[in-house]
Amino acid sequence: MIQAYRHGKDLSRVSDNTRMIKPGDILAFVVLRNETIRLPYFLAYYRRLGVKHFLFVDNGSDDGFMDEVGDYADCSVWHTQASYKASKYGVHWLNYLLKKYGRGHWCLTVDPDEFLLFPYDDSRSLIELTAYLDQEQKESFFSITLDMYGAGTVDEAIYQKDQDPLAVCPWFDPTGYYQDKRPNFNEWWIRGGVRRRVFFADQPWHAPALNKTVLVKWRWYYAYFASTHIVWPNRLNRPHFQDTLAPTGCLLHFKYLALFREKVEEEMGRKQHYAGSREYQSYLAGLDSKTVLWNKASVRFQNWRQCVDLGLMNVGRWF
Amino acid sequence: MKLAFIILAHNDPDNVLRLIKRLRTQDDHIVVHWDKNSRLDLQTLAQSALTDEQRANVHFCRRVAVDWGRWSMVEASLSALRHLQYLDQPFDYAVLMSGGDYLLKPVAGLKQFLSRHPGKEFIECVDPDLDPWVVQGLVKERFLHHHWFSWRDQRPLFEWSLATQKKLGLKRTMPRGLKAYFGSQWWALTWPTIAKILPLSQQGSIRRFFQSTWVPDEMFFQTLVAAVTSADSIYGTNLTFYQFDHTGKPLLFYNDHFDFLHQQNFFFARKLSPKAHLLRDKLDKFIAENPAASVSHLAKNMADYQQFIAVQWRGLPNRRVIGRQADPWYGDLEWNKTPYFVIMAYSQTQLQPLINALNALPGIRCFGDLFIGDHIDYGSNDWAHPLYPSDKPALRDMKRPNFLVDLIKAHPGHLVGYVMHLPIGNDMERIALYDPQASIVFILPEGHYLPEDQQSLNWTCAFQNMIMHDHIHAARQANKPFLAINASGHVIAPESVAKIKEKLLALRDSMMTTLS
Repeated sequence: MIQAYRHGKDLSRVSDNTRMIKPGDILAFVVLRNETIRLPYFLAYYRRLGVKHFLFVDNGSDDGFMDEVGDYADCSVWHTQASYKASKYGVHWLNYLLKKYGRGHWCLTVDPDEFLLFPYDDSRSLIELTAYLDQEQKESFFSITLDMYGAGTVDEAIYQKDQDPLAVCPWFDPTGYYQDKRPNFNEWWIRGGVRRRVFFADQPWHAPALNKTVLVKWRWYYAYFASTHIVWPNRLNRPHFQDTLAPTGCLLHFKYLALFREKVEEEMGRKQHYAGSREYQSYLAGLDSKTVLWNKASVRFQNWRQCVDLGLMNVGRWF
Repeated sequence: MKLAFIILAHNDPDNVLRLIKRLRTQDDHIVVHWDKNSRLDLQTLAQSALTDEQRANVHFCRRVAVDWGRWSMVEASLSALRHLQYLDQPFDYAVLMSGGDYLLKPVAGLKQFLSRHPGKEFIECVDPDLDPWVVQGLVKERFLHHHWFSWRDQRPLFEWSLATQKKLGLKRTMPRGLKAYFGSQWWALTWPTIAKILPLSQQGSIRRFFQSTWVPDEMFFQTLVAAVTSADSIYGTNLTFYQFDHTGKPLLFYNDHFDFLHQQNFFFARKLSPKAHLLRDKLDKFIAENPAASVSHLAKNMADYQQFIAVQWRGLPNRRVIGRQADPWYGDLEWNKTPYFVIMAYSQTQLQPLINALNALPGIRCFGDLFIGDHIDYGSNDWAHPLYPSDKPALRDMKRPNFLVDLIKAHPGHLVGYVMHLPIGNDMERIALYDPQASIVFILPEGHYLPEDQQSLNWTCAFQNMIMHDHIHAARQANKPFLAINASGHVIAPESVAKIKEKLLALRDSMMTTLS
């Protein structure tokens, strides 16, 4: 937490509309770098779900990010040129902002390529979900990442501004997800999906974690630990109630667009990622040989019911 | 017929105004009690939101600051009733509702229903001696002891005072010989009954008693109605459909609940999510299309809800539950409810002919030695699971039970199985022995003596293959049915193959019948 405060000093306020935040609003916290092309759809998606304010940390974007969000009254922006790695991959920045603005609110911490799905999302809003969790005295919402991809190579998945990324990348792996408890810690550690199958086929145990606790009713002493995979205190990572199941969600993750190659090359140059950028080294190796992520067993995404049917999402006791 | 609707509301003014608009008819009156704790003033909002015509016969009574579970809840209703009394109109019924309620049937249908049950009181009156009624928490303690503190804001004091009174054996009796009754807060009462209750509510002893009762709103009217009317005039059900969940909170209804609410034979539903505008639209549409819809009797239809609870609370059958796993070693097999078979053979057995023979059978898929070696042996060359290429054994080995479940799921309608040459050296051996879905066929070396009843072993030969013996013993101890076959010269004789075929076909047929 002290680190969060220290790294919070890196952030300089660019546009501050936080006085527009009303008690009980759902807030979104986003760290990004050069993702402006994804933003219009991202903002529209989460506004529809009921997010009332977006707080961005812009880590040195040079693609006209401010032109995109500068005018919105529901967006506030902090800018920094500091090292992404030194701030523990953005976690300290997020913790600083969450502590300052997120207290008492339901806070959604996502990347611009992540889209949250939850049970009944076609007929109920995020506001209703959080009201339900409040009523059940649950302070967090567990979700797993589903990596989405297109039918061709990654370079062929060309994304246009304002487009629904599902139109480009509608496929995902229906199975091949592994749940374990992390050694030393007691939280869930879910790995698998296309990353394991394609990029980590020879050492699948190195595949990155897929579980994320992105929606938390924040209190001042809460903190994210390792990206949004682990949040402290540990009880927030528990997916379910003590006795019965709680609703859980899926995060559709649209990493594998044509933008991705550019991103990986840039990130490899910056060397700002976890574990010596091992993840990105594997990605680059996979991309060089023009791997097609699509597979005969891939499934085209339909809706949340499909995720429940595949055992990737729970409805819990939310009738 | 002339009705008076009382709406108790504390938030969400838009939906309260919407409810007022829908309830309003020419000759009925609506009294709204708007919680004094709310900073907004509904009356002012209504001035602008409702037209003059819509505001006719809509009244706002004296506001009380309502504290959940305490006397102020009753006082709010009484405030509205006194306002109605002051209006001095010939009401037939007064209907108590909440701002989160909505109409399931038109008011015309309600009037028709009420005129078919003249003089009936639509209120739940449950005798706590016969039925606790309360889902969770205090029942008789609610009125047997004094409750001066708020459970919400002063919980330690609340609990301390209750515990102290219990320890000291302090109990109180009902005033004026009343008998306590419980029931849902919402009701529809005839006006003569209300005219009898209102003076009672002014009496000091009754007032004082309920002022220190916990959740008096679920007791006050119920007790007094039972006291002032005859038992046969109490209908025993209220007009509002509600359902408590297992913790005693009312279920909230969302946009997708129209069909569920439509099945309910009630006039109102409690309670709708403030955001469920689409649900309200659908209910409006139904009422507009069926302006005379009514019900013959009040009844819940909870089949959907019961099924939901039975299924969803513990996870769907045959599906993985994310974030809950009894044993990581067992993996997805924990959720698997599809039977499969394992052929356990000693190391030199030649199994390929058997595999081929089994794969030739309809509805059976027998794989090779799946779990050993740096190559996944699918048993035949024509199929490999797309997510697990033969040359990527690491994907299989990360969690073998999950791989097996994926193979089973990839062959719906088939009985899936695999062969295993012992010793295999990983956990799949034990899993096959203890997984209730696994049926085992043991292939024993020549010279093993196994009589037809398979109850006793030839111990001399058993020592020749210690592992086999251990496994058979384990299977027997686990009460697992199995088939044991003797190989001759490391080859399985045709009659033994026929025996295995027969057993697996029977297993497949029983699997298909349970699935269908």
